[in-house]
Amino acid sequence: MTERLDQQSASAARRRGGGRPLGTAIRYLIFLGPAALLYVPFVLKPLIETFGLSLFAWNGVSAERTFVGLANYARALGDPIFWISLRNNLYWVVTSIVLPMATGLVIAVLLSAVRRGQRIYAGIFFTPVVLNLIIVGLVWGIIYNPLIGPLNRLLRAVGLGSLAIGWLGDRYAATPAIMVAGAWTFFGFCAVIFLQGLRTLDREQIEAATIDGAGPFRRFRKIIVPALSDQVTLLIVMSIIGSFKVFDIVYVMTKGGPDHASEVIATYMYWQSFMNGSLGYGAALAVMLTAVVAGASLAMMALRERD
Amino acid sequence: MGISLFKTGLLASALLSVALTTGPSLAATTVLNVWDQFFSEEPNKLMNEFVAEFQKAHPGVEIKRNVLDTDSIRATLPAALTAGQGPDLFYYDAGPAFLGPLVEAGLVADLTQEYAARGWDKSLVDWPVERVTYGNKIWGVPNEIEYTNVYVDLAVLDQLGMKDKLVADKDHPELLTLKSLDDFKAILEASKAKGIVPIAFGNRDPGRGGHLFSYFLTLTAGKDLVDKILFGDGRWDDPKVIDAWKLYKDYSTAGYYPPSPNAISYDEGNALFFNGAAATNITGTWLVGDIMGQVADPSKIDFFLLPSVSADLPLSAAAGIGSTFAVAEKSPNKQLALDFLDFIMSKDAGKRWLKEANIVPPIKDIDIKGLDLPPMMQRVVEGATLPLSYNLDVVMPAEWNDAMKTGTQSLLDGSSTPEDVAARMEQAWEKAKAEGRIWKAH
Amino acid sequence: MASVELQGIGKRFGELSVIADLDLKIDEGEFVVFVGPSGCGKSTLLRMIAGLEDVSGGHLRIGGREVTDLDPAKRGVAMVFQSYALYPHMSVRDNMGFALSIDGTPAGEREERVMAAARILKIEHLVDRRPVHLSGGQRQRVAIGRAIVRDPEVFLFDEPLSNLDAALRGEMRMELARLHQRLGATMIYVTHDQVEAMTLADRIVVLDRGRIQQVGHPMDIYGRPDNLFVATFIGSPKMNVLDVVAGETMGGLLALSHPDLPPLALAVDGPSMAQGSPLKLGVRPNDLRFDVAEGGIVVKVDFVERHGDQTIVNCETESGLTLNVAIPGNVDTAPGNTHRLGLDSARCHLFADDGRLISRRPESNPARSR
Ligand SMILES: Nc1ncnc2c1ncn2[C@@H]1O[C@H](COP(=O)(O)OP(=O)(O)OP(=O)(O)O)[C@@H](O)[C@H]1O
Ligand SMILES: [Mg+2]
Repeated sequence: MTERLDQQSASAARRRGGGRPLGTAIRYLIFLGPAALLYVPFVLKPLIETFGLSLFAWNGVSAERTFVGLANYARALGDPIFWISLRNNLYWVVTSIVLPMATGLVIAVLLSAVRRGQRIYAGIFFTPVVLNLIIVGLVWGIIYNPLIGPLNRLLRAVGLGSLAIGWLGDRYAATPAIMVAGAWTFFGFCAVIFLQGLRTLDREQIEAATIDGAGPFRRFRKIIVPALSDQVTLLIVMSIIGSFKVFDIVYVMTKGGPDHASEVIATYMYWQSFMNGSLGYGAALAVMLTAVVAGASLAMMALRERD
Repeated sequence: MGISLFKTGLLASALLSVALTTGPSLAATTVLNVWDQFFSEEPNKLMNEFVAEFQKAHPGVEIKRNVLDTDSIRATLPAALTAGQGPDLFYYDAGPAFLGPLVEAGLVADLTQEYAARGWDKSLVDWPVERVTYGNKIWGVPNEIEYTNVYVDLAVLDQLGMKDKLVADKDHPELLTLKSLDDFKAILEASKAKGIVPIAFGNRDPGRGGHLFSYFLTLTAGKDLVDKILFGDGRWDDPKVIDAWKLYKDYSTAGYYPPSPNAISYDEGNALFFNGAAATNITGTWLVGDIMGQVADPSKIDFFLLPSVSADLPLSAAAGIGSTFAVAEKSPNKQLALDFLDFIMSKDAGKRWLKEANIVPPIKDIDIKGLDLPPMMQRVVEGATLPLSYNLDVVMPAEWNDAMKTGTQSLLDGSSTPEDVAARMEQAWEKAKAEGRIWKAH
Repeated sequence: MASVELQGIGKRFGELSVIADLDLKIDEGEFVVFVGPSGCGKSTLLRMIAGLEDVSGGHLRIGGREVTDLDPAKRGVAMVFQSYALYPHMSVRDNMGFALSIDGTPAGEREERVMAAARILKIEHLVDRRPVHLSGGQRQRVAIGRAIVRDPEVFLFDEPLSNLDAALRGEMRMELARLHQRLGATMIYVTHDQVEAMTLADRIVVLDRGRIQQVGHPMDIYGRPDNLFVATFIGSPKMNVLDVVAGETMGGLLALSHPDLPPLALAVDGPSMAQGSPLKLGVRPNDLRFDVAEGGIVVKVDFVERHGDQTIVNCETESGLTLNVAIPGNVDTAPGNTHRLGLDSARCHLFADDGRLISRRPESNPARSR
C-alpha cells in the first residue's frame, strides 16, 4: 500500500521534472527570485568588485591604480605569512570540529540525563556564545596572563611550572591558546544543538540497545551519535565556514601576533588592506578566502547529498 | 487622482515634521564633521568644551564629532574620504604610511598658505610642523608633542637605595637624568635582585617595543644618524642601529623585562608599574594622564630621561606628534574647519590642553607659570624643548614598521638576531624608497 | 522458555513508592497480561523485569536464576516497546540483527536468523529498508522481529499495539497469539486494552496503585472479580454499581434494599451483615434483562448506542440512578421510552462499602478450560 504510494509520487515527480522544463524554470524563478534579488547586490556585486580590485596594485586612496593582473595572487603564493595564515585556518578547522563539538556532545549527553534544572545548566554553558568578543578577549587575556593569570598559577601549583609560558606571546602557543578560547565561545552552542537533537532521540531506543547488549560506549557510538547526524553535519559546516572566516577573536587576542604567528587569512587580509596599505593584495586574499569557504561548503553539501 | 492627493498629503506632513523638529534655525545650520581620536576621558571632555564654545561663538554652526580609536580610523577614513563622505576635519596619523597616501591622492588640503595667513608659522614649534610637511608643503596642524621617557617609582627606588642615581641635567636643571646608562643598569639589577620587575614592558602590541627601539636608537645613534638614514644615504643596517637592537635584546637577556613580554599587553604592563610591582616603565609622555588618574599616589611617580651612550650626544628622546589635524580637500567648509583649528591652537587653548588634558601642544611660549601644573607635567613641557629625535613608527612606511615591530617580538623569543632585524628593516626601507613611499619633507 | 518469579518486589522513585512488596509467579510458556489504570505501575514492573529499572527491594528470578542485579542483556529477555524504538539509521536487517552483531554471532548465522524471523512476520521484502520508509504496522513487526531474533526466554511487551489503528491492532493481536503458540515462549504483556488482555492472556494480572488486585484466567477475572475495583475495571461497558443497604439475614439470604429496586435477597456465606450497613451491588450491563413484563426497575431511556451486534441502552431510574444495559442484537426503543429492567439476584456481585467482595455470582463460566 505504502509502496504503491511511493511509486506513484516518484513517477509523478519524474513527470514534473522531465516533462515541463519551462514550467520548472519559472517555478525556480518564483522561489529563488526574492533570494536572488538580495543575493545580487549584497553578495555577487561586491564579490565581483573585490575580484576586480584584486587585479590592481592599490593603496586604497591613490587616484591611480596599477593593473597587475594576477600578480597579487602570485604574491600570496610566495608570501610566507600567507601560508602561515592558511595553515592556521586549517588548524582552526580541525580544532573547531574536534574541541567544541566533542565537549558540546559530552555535555549534551550528560545534560540530557539531568531532569531538574537542565535549562539552567544549558543556559550557563550557552553564555559564552552570546558574550561580546571583546569581553571574551579580556577574560582569556587574563586567564593566559603570564604574570597574574590563573592558568599559569594553576600549572605552577601542580608542579608544571615549566609549562607556564606566555601563551598569547608565544609563537607556537598563541594559535592553540586562541583556539581554546574560540572553542569556549562555541561549545555551548554545540551542546544546545546536540541537546535539541537528543530530545528527539527516543529514550526507548537507548533502552532497546541496552537490552540488545550494547554497553555505554557502543550505545553512544551506534545509537546516540548516528541520531545526531543532522546536528553533526550542521555544526561541521558551521565550524568549517567559521574557521575560515575567523577574525574577531584572533584580532582581539593577538592581532595575529607575535610576529604574525597567529595570523589567519582574515586578519592578514585586514592588516594588508587597512594597516599595510595593500588593498589590492588584501582583495586577492579575500577572493581566495571566499573561494575556499565556498568550496568547503559545496563539498560538504555534496557529501551530504550523497548520503 | 486619489493617489496623488495622498502623496501630496504625505509630502506635506513630512515637510511639517522636518520644520517642527529642526525649529527656527533650519535655514542657517552649517555642519562641520570632525573625526578624531580623543577617546580618553580628559581630552574628550576638553574637545567637547571647545566644540561647545566654538558653536556658541559661531551661531548656525554645528560641529559633529566622531570619536574613533586608531585602528578604526585607519580602517575607515581613507575609504570615506575617497568616497567623498568623510569628515571636513580629521585627526589622523601623520606619516608616509597614513597621511602620506591621502596627500598624494589629493584628498588633503594644502595648508601652506594658511600657515602664513593665520600666523601658525610663527606660533607653532618648527619640528612638529616639519612632521606634517611633504614636498615642502604643509598638510596638517599638529596637536600634541610626545616623546619617550622612563617613569620611575620613587618609593621603589628609595627601597632599592638608588634614589641618588637620579641627577638634574646640567643644561636643563628641571629635567632628571642619570649619569650614565651603567647607573640605569645598576637600578635594574638592584630591583631584579629584590624580585621587583625592573622595566614594566608589555609587547603584545609590538608598537611598544617600537617605542623602546626608537628611544634606544636615539641613545646609540642620535638624531643626526637617523636624519642621514631618512633623508640621506644612511642605512638601517648601520652598526649603531644594530647597537640599539642589542641594547633592547640585552635587557631581555639580563631579565629586566617581565617574563614573556610578548604575552603582556600594554595596559597590563602599565598596570604592573602602576601597582608598584615594577621599578620603571619605558614609554612616553602620553602616559602622564593615565598616571595621574590611575596611580593611587601619583606623587611617588616621576620620570627621567636616559643619558646617551656617548657623551657627545645631547640629552634627547624619541619624539613625535602622533596624529595631526588635517582638512579634507573636498570639504565645502575648509575655512570653518581652519577657524576651528585656529580656536583650539590659540595660546589660551594651549594652556587648557596642558592643564586639562595633559597634552603638550606644539605652541610656542606658553606661559605655564600661572597654570599650577603638577611637577611631572612641568617637566614634560620642559623636555619638549630638547633637541628631540624621531619616534619612528609614525614617520616610516608600512613594511618597515612591520619589519621593525615583528623584530621586537622575534628578538625576545630568540628567533631573530639584531643583525637579522636590521637587515630586514633596510630591505623594507629600500623597497619603499624605490616605490616612492617614504617621507619626503623637502 | 522460562518461568518468571517476583518475590517481595518493591520500587520507589525517591520518596514515591510506586510498587510495594509484590509477589507473582509466571509459569514457563505462559502469556500473562498486566492491566490497570494509567500510572498504576505496569510499565515499571515490566521494566524491572527487563532490568531497565533497578529494583528497590525483593528478588527477581527468571528460569529459577536470580537476576535481580543482572544486566538487562544477560537476563534472556527481549522487549518490544510502545514506540517500537527502532534504530532509525539502520536497515530493518541491521535493526533485527543488532543484538546478534553485538554478541558476536557469525554473519551467516545472523542473516539466517534474521530472515527466519522476517519470514515468520512476513517482512522479508522489507529488510533493506530503513524504519522511516515503513508503515506503523510494518515497524511493529520489525520491532517484534528484533525480539524474536534474539530467541529470548521471556518476551516483554509494553503496549506494543497502542499506536496502531483499530483494524491493524486486531490483526496484530491475532498474529501475537499465533506467535505465542508457535514459539511457546513466556510472554509478559502490558496493555490498557481489555480486549487484548481478555483475548491474549492465559492469566491477567490486574494492578492498581502498584498492588495486584487479582490474578487469574480472563474469564475468572471477568466473571468472578475479587473486588469492586477489578469488577468495574474489567468489562465493557462497565459494571453497574448500586448503593444498597443491608437488611436481615435469613437462611443464608441477605435482604438488600434500594429505593428504586424491588425487594432483593442474595445468598451469602460467611459472617452476617450488620443491618443497615451500606453495601455495593454490582451487576454487569448484559446481566440485566431488558423489558420485563412486570416488576423490576422502572427506567427511562436516556440514549441508545447501537453497535450492530449489541445495543447499549443508557437509562435512568426515578431517583436519578444511571444504569447501562447491554442487549444482544438490535432493540426497538428510543430516548424517553420507559422500560422495566429485570434484575436476577443470581447474577449480582455484592461488595462491602470498601470494595471487598461479599458475595459473587455463583456460577463461573462452565466453558472454562485449561
Ligand atoms: N523515572 C520515574 N521517576 C519518578 N516517577 C516515575 C518514574 N517512572 C514512573 N514513575 C511514576 O511511577 C508510577 C508508575 O508509572 P508507570 O509508567 O509504571 O505506569 P503505567 O502503569 O505504565 O502507566 P501507563 O498506563 O500510563 O503507561 C507513575 O506514578 C509514574 O509517575
Ligand atoms: Mg506504561
